[in-house]
Amino acid sequence: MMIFVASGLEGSTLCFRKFLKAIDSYGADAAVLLGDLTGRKVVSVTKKGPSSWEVPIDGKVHAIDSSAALAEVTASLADHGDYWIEQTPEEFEHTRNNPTLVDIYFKSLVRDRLEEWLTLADERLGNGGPPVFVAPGCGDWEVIDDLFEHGGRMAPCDDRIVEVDGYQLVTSSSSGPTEWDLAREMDDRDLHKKLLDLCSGVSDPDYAIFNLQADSRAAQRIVKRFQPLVRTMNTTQGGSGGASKRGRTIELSPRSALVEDAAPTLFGILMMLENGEVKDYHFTEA
Amino acid sequence: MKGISLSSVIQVINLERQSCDIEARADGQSGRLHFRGGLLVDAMADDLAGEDAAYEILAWDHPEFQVNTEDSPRERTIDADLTQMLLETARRQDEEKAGIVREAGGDAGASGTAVDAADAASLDDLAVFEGPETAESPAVPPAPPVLGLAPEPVSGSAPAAKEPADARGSASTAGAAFAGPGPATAPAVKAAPAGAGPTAAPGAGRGGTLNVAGLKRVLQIAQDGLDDALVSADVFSTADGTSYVGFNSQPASCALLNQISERMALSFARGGLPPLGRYYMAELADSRILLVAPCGGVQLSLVVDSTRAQLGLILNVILPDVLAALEEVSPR
Repeated sequence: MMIFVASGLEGSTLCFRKFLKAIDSYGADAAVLLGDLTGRKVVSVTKKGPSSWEVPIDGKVHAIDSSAALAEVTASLADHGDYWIEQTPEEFEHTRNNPTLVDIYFKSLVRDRLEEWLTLADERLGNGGPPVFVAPGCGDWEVIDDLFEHGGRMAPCDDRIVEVDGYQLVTSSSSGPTEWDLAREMDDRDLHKKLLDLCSGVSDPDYAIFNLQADSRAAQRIVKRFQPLVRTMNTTQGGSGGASKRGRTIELSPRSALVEDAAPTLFGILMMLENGEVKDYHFTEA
Repeated sequence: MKGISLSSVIQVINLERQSCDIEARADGQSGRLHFRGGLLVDAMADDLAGEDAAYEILAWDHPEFQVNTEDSPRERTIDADLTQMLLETARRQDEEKAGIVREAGGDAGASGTAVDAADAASLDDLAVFEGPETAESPAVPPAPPVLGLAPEPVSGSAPAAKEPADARGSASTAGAAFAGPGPATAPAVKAAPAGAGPTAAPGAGRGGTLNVAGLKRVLQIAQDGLDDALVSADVFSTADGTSYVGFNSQPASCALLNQISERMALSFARGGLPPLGRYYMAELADSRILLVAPCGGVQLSLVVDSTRAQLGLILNVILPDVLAALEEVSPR
């Protein structure tokens, strides 16, 4: 069985399209998209007139004088993982000075983008084909979680065990404490208890793949205790990824997507599994 | 305010248990939704109030709206569950769309074929009526073969060379960006290969063989023929709009042009027109000409400065050579 795993799309629509295409191109039997799924910035497109706008990009304010040009700019923002909102100067000032409003709008844009992705996945993946799973990352707000539970083509796999061709995928978006105060951080002791409960459902570690967030003491203890066949970890933006061995477990980290590059790049791992063994793996780049 | 959906804002308010008002406007109507602790407690829309007003506002198509976070206590007039109301609104809208499409099919007479609701939704504002099916009616062209992406094995885990983050991501310095979740530190990014010169493309995959050298040759022929009249060129994937090779590559344009080509093919098919020939052309401002040639699983886009090359020369001499080379690499 061949499983394709990618992570850290950080809101990039282009990387998401690449992910969908890669499933077919690589001939994967299953695919998993892990967090962080959401971007980190909202760009305010200021409406200056009937057909004129100002958009701040790269620290400079760009004047836009046609709807077509605006569509191109906003598509580019989406491809690079940024969100955008069109406002009058007054609306922008009103928003900027109101943190609650910023929070509401930002989270709403994040949901809109994910809904768009899930619709695209339904269209592109169709009814047949390999199973595709999705889980948020520890930096993703929890307001997106219900979006994955609506029976679409991308099935949720967070905080549960899903079966794929005799293998068990165990995924958790929770992480231990970090320096960034992320949305899904937990106390290390609570995280250990949570992961222990979750992983207790594993029937055979030789056929288990753990998708756990980047290193925490709790995750290390769980991996050491269960010794799954594979553990995947996501990496922070720009993280280098890599492979290592912990006991009998192969730990693989795909590089996170470089969404801020001129041409956003999707990184992933292609794992070839056979009879409870990792026959091969490749780091992929698209 | 545009670029954000009212339904998402409502759901975030609900999930985050916020107390606020939403003032919404659409097609000369106006209304207000009041939330307390995330619950929708009251609504007004023109002469409606309570649940009826809420359903009215939720049904508006792309309303403009403004959220006010000042707490304005209201008597509770709505007890219905917000999620159920949103689902009910979606159901009503689906029914309405299906009804419109059925009606269009019925008006067209016995030979008309109604497009189903899902199809109509996918066509957005394109024609939703399909003409009578005859032997001459062009069928929707089959999807082009998908060119594969190549798994590129990396030996060990050696990371690519990185440079510190550049100015991108610092929109807040211009005063018009909001901070997001996650690490506050500037992410490292790879040195961006911007600017002129052919860019490398993904390699071959299981779905087919991508002849990168052949695609580069196509661009070379275009460059040789057009010389300094060539502003930019890309050969991009029809499957997802990703540029495979480019000269002054415009990845965002590729993605958008891909959508235009797709819509054009659909429109021609639905409108009973013959399918697109070898290319389409648009006159742009600033003496620019855009040429797009869908061919197999790829599309060639050229932007040409018409002050530096004669149109006759482009269409009758250079373009045929370029298209012949493209068809050799990616047969129709």
